[in-house]
Formats: sequence, structure tokens, C-alpha cells
Amino acid sequence: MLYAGIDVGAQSVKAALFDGQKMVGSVCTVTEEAADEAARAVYADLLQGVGIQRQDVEKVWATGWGAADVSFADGKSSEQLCAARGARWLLPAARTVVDIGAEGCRVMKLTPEGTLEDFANNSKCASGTGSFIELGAVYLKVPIEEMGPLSLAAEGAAEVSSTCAVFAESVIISKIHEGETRARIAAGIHRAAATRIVELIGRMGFIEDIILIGGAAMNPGLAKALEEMTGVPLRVPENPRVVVALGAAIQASLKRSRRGKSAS
Amino acid sequence: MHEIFARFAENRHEAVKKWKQETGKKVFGYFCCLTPEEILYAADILPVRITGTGEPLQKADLHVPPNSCAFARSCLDAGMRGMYDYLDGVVVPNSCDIIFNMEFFWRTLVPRPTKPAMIAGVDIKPYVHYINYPEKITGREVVPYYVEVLKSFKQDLERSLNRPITDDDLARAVSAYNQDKSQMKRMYEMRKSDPAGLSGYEAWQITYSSLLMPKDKHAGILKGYLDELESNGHKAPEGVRIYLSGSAMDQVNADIYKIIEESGGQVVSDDLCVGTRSFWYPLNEELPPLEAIARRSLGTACPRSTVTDRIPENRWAHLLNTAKDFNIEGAIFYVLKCCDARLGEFPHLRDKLKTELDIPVLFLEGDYTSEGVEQMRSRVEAFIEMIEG
Amino acid sequence: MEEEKQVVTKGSQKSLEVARNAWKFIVQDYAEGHAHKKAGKPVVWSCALVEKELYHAMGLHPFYPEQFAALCAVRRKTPDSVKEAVRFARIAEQAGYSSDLCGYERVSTGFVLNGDLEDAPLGGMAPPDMLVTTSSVCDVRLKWFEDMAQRLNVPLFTLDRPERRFDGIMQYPKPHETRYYRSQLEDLLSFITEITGTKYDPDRLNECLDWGYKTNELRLEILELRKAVPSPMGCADGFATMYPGMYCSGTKKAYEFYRALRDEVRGKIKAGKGQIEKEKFRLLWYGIPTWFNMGIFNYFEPVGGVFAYEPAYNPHPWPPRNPKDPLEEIALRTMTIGSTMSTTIPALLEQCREYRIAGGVLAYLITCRAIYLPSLEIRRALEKELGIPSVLIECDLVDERTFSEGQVKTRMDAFAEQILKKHESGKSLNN
Repeated sequence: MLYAGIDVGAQSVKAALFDGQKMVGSVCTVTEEAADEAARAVYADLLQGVGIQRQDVEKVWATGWGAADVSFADGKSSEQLCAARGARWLLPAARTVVDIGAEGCRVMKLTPEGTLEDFANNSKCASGTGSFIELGAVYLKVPIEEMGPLSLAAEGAAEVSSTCAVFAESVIISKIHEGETRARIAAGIHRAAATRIVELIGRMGFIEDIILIGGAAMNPGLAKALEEMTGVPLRVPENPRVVVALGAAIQASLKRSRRGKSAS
Repeated sequence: MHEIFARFAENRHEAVKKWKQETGKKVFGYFCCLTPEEILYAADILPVRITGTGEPLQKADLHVPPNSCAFARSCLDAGMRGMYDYLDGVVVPNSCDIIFNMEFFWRTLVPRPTKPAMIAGVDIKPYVHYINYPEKITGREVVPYYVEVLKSFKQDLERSLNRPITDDDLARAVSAYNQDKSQMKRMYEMRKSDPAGLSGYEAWQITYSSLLMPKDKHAGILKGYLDELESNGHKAPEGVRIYLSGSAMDQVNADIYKIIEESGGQVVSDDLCVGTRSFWYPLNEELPPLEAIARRSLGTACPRSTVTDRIPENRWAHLLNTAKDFNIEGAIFYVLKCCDARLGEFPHLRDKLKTELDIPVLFLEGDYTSEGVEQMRSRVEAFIEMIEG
Repeated sequence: MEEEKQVVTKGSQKSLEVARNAWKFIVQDYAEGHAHKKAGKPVVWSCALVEKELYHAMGLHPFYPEQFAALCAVRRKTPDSVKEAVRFARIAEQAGYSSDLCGYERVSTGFVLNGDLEDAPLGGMAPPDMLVTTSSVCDVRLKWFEDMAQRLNVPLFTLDRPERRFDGIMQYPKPHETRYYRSQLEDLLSFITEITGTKYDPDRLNECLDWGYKTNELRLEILELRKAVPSPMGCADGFATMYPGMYCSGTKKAYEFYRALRDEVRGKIKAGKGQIEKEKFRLLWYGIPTWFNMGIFNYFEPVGGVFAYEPAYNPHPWPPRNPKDPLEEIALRTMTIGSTMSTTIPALLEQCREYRIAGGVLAYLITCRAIYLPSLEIRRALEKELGIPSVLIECDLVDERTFSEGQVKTRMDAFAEQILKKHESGKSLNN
């Protein structure tokens, strides 16, 4: 039986197909369309890509910021739960899941059995998120996809405050004036973002194995900075962006119905 | 009957002003559930709880710095904007570092609708009354001390109103408050069942309105309402049983109850001052009434207070009992930013809930706006889903 | 972990010899505390405005988490590491203590959670046999100490000092107020006796109170002397020398410390010497200092500005000694002080007149609400009543992560310009 999960984020929509054993297809599309239209389009792409029809799918499950708007979903679940499900499926020993997106970072703690036990968000500000690194890319005049490799090329890192993204511009500019190389500043920006993320992980207790998911997890510079700071190896799955969508599909397969309000 | 509670909860100023017009009596505003409002009631004054607006500040931000309780600042702002111009007086207890300064701020910044009455340089009709409430609520001398404080307060009121407040007046107030308490407790007990006898939001509306209307009137209406609910076999929507702990929960942020319910939960018990703590502690009618009132006021146990125990665990003890009695499945702490007392006790309570009862905890930092509450929806959903499994 | 080294903080230059050497007093006091503990004698963790003479009379050595936090704000473990205060605050925040909580609380809680009480500056605070706190000054310390008691599993006693509101900084308390406070002093003594076995000895308490009283008189005299022009003792000196009076009152060594300080100040006045050569304007520092950056007190010296007065930690006149009933005396002393904004603001205005203050720097310590809540009203009162401009410096008291050096500099420079303009336009500032 096939189950589909759709993760409607603020900037992109991801979809995944699960057959009870593994993920058989996935799609990730950046889109500005309204949630329902975007979800429809991405879902259609997913089905086409795998070569199946709507009726072949047992259940469709939504998650993410726009989950409530997906009119054709059979149910929805929180991103935290889906992240836990997806990560645990890909990495059976996962105990800590770190989801680093553009707008926020959240950390999920799993029990030894793999159920979601606790979670924490970084909701206070941009520091520690993908957008902090994006900001850095803007001020350094570097394409965002080059930020990670640039930071890896550095010898050491410039000191960039991790407390507030508001000061980031003035700090970066002053570093440039001080003669710091772009690479070292990029490394400093990654370390600053990582500091915040590490604090969040620390609140959950640094329980291994720690798995990174979400868009920013694809940034090798960030992954390296995180590893250096935590001192533990971090797993990054092949396609970190679609882990939450996969988790939604897995959730669908478990056929959970919620007490109280009906699921659809 | 339910509409009366909703009316007061949704449009409190109009409702109270209407009452004032109809009865021609006086209304005093007060801060905090530990205020001995029974004394006001005994003097034929309607005591109403002061709450804020949740709107951006228009005036108070020039006087009270940010990084301090948004609720207190909003209350002051409402006062400065004239929203409380129907009050004949204001009572400020020494409850927490921010609220007790309202004595100064309200007195100097809020335009007073009543005129002072100066005799030999002393205003015998002060607009703002201050009550020197203790910070340690147990101890061998605290009751005699506090009774003296209340005597002073009573005398100031008597002088201001030009009428005595006799022990009979106080005893009548005690009796009226106890009647309301017994109905409120009845309502509280109804939430022990599964599903609860009424929803968290309904319970909040009933509690909030009790802080805005005369207790005897509230008691009468509530009794009828609860009788009706019981005979109908009314039940709240089922949901994960949630304990809600937090800072000021008034009409600005009470939507959290609805959000919890819409996410598949149901608040069955709480630790809020617009909640259980506002009616919990009984008035002992066998004691002289002023002493009974003093004891009730002390017993309200605001988190900011401490006790004489060697290692105070009264807050945990209370939580433990409630969790057991109500079969709590999850706890949500909605704490206003900068609420020192609650932020300080949180880690310990969270840890205890985990280690002793295996109850998960969700911490939400509030900013005292309704938009802020709405933004918590996804986390509340995730939390409740996590408990459901 | 490398950290925000963009924050350039430094210690202050003090103008008095006694102030420069005051750190030795602190180091010595800590060493004595540790020796005390090693010898099997009892240690208490307490806070400001508890009457210390009681501890010294009962054979306890007190440590003060708030003072310890200030110490951590200036120390690093290694030249490359973050300040100890930041290290400890982080530990507390990871455990769930909000970063909005008082810096002192976060630092000392982090120190406790760290698990190794010796892994800290000056060997840390020796493990306590009891905790004693008071409701004076703020409410945070009630919960903070409750929390420490629970974590350390050590008994706690709280002194409840009712917050009195009245006009004027001091007023005789009502009988029921003194009785309430006195009963708690008695309970505190029983509490200490129960834990340590030491019996209360009124003679010993009188001895300590004699020292305390004399010490306080000296401190009051010094406060009075500081009114001189040019300013003989500044805020950097003041903050550096408050430790013995605040934390060791009741001991001979505290008395001797202030006697030396008083003599030095007298000498300066006699010689007509001020903090700096050409004093142009005098400033007020309102609030607790930014402990991690005491260098701020020298900031205006290049343009002739000195910090002349700080109301934090200042002594108040005590009621006369009452050897027949020292507990009554202590209760009276504590209950005489008012603490609400009605009293703080008029007192501050008076002090600005007396110390010829031309400008105020208001320390807007974002986690110390009890102290900084009156800031905007103070600023307004200074402007309106005395025509004195002021500037708000926003940061934490011990946690430098929220300190923006650039922002502070900009504000301070603009402020200095404002004052100098006034000075140059002939408006008399100092006489």
C-alpha cells in the first residue's frame, strides 16, 4: 500500500511516497502559490514521477505551516511528529532530530523506542536559522549555495556575534574593513548560527544519534560547524529536505485517528 | 444564563459600567487575586479585577520600561487612556515587583476621576490604596501582622467613604464569597470526570466574570447554570487532559483554551489567578471576619510568595495533588515574558512532572497579545499529538 | 568555544589606593570562608540587606551568590575562554532557566548545576549548610533561593521585610511592622541554632553590632565627604569598595578597611585633589554597574567628566545602638527604610543637588527589573526638576552577551557632547 505525505512550508512544498518499507519517490518545489494549489501541483508531480494514479494511494497526509489548507488530505500531523517519524525511519538509532529550516530551527527528542518525547523551537529570532546564513550571503555578496563551501575553504574563522542578527550587517562590514577574508567571515557566520542551534540541542540533552534534516542541513559548512561544536558526529540523510514529508506519509500508514476533533 | 458570563467576559467595561449605572453604587478596581476584596464588598463596593487590553501601548511605554511584565504595562496603559474612568478607587497590593509599583504609577499617571479631599495636607479620599501584603505567607506572626495591615486599610476606606465597615458587614461579605466559592468549587469538581463536565474555556468565562460582578449575584446565576448542565448531562468535548499553569490569563489571551481544545486537548485544571487561585482558599466563618479574610488572602499562594518550610515545595505539592485528582496527561505553562516568579520556578516543576509523574510539559512564552497566542497553535498541536501517540 | 570578543570590556581605573587594593580584601574573605568550611564550621549563602552581624555573631561565614556572580562577570578560566558568568549562565539556560531571568540568578544557578562547586573563580562558594534570603530589594531572590535550596537540598530561611510606602526616604515603622520583622529575626536565630548547634549570645551580637555601627558611621562620613569639589572619590572607587560594608558588616576588618578609605578621602580633600586633574562635570550612575565592563566609569575622563555619585549600595543612617535589645534595634533599622518609587525619586533628586550632578547615566539592566523599573520616571524627573540630561545604557548586569559596545559608545558620546555644550555655554554645573 502506498501513502503520501505533503509538507507545505512557507517557501517550498515537499511530497514523499512511502510503501511501508521505504520512500519510493519524492518531490521538492520552491513555490509562491497558495498552499492548496501548491500542494495539488506538487502532489501531481509526485504521482507522475513515480508513474501512479491518485487511486493507488491509500491515504494522503499533510504537515507543515500550510497543512490545514490542503483540502484533499485525509489528515494532518505536526511537523515535530513527522520529523521524528521520518528521521527515525531513515536512521533507526536516531534520538535527536535537528530540523533547520529557513525560518526556524527545531529540535526533537526521541525515546529509546523512537517515539517523540519532547521538542523545542528557536522562535525568538533569526539567529541559528537558515535565514541568518542567507543574510550573511547578502552582505558578503556571495550566492547562497556557495556560502557553505566558502566557509569550508577558510583557515579559522572570524569572530561574529551570535546574539543578534540585527547587528550582523554592521559586524560583517566591520570585519571586511578589518581585512578579514570572505572565507573566514563565512566561517564565522556559520559558527554563529551553529552556536544557537547547539544551545537548542543542549536543552534536549545531546543524546546520540543526532540527525540533521531540513534545507539548511544541506549546507556542508553548517554541518561541519555543528560537528566541531558538539564534538559528536552528525548524520545527514541523502535528501534532508523531504524527511518531514516522508514522516507524514509514515504517519498516514499508522492510521492514527485523533481523539476529540476529527482528523480531516 | 451562559450569556451573562460571556457578556462580562467579552466586554467587561461595558458590563460593569451598566451595573454601576443601574445600581448607583461604587466600583473599585484591584490587582491580583490575593487582594482582600471582601473588605470592599463589605463596604458595598463592587470590586473588579483590573486587566489590560493586549493592544500596542499608547502611553505607558513612556513611563514603564520594556523587558517588564506586559500585562502590568497594559493595565496601566488602559488606565492612562481613561478606560477605567468609572472606577471610584484602585487597590494595589504588594504582590510582585512590578505590580506593587502600580501604586506609584497609577497614582501619578492615571487621571483620577474622583476628587481628592484635602484636610491639613492629607488626602482623606485617596484614589489609590496600597496594601502591604507579606511575601512569606506562613509563619507565627504573619497573621497578626497582616490583620493590622487590613485594619489600616479598612480605616482608610471608612474615612474615605464616610461610613463604618462593621464586623457584621464583613461577616456578610464572607458569607457571600463563600457561597460563590462553593459553586465555583462545584464547577471545578465537575471537570474531574472524563470527559470533563464543562470545557476549559467555559470554566474560564465563568471565573473571569466572577471577578467582575457581585459575588452573590454570580453565585445565584452559577448555581442555576450548573444545575442545568448537570441535569442535561452536559459534557465538554473530549480531549487530552491538560493542566494550564501561567501568568495573567484574561480576555486578551484566553483564546489559548480554544486553541488547546481545537488541537484535541481540554484544559481540566489550572493554576491561574484568573482561574483556580481566585476562588480556591475558603473563608473560615468561625473566625472573626477580618482574620478570616486575612487568612484567605494569604492562602491564595501566588507563585511569587514563599513559605516557612525548610525546603519550600508547596508549589510542587499543589501541582502533584491536582495532577493526581484530575488525571492530567500533559501540562502547558504559558508564562508571560519576564514573569520572574514563574520563570524561576519552571525548571523545577517541569523536572518534577517528568521524573515523578512522567507528564510531558510544553513551555510557551507569552507576550500578552492575542496574535501571540495564535502563533502558539502549531506547538500546541504538536504537543497534544505527541501525547496522543 | 570562541565567542563574542567583539565586546571589548575592561576593568576600571580607580583613583584611590584603598580602592585599587580592595580586590585583595575580597580574595582574603573568600579564602577565610573556604578555611572556615574546611575547619568544619558552618557556611551560609545569603544576599544583600540581610543583617550580616547576625551571621558573624553566630559563627557563620557568609557567601553571596549575587556578589559571586559579579565576580564571575570579570573572570575568565583561560585567556581564550568566555567570562565565567557567561559559562554559568549558559548552563542554567540549557537547563530551562529563561534568559530573561536575573543575571545573578542565572549565573549562580549555573554554578550550582555545574556540579563542581570548586570549578569557579576563587575556588567558588563553599558548600552551604543553609541559605538565607530576604524579600528586600526584589522578589526574584525568593524564588531563586527556593530553587537553590531544592537543588542543593539545604534548608532555607526567608526574611520577609514588608515593602513600606510613604513619603520621604525614612520613617519610623509602626509597632506591628517591627513586631513582625523581629519575630522573624528570632526565628532565624532558632533556625541557625538548630542547624549549627551554636546558641544565640546577645553579648556577641552586641559586639558585632558595635563594629557594624561604627563601620556604617564611617561609610556615611565618606558619603558626605564625596560631596566635595573636585570629587575625591568616584563610582569606580565606590563600587570597588562596597564589598566590606555590604557583605562583612559586623567585623573588625570591615571597620578598618573603611577607616583607611575615609582617611585617604580626607587626605585628598585636604590636598584639593580630585579623581582627575581637570574636573569639568560630575555624573550620576543610577543602578547596578555593568560588572563585566567597569571600565565604563573612566569613559568621560578624557573630556573632564567624572562619575561622582552612585546610589546603589549606599549606607543609610541607622537608629542608635540599643545594647539591651539588639534584635529590636536590628528590626528598627531594617523597617525604617522605605523602598518604593515614591521614596526613591525624591531622594535621588536631593542627592543630585548635593553632589552637584550635571548628568545621569541610568543603567538599564534588562534582567534587573526591581532596580531599573523607575528609570524612565527618574530620567523625566531629572530633566524636569533639575534640568539634568541623562542617558540610558542598556545591557545585563553580569551577562555581556547582550552588550553592544558600539551602541553604548554612540549614546555616551552624544551625551557627553550635550553636557559639554551646556558647560561651555557658561551654565554653571559644579557650583
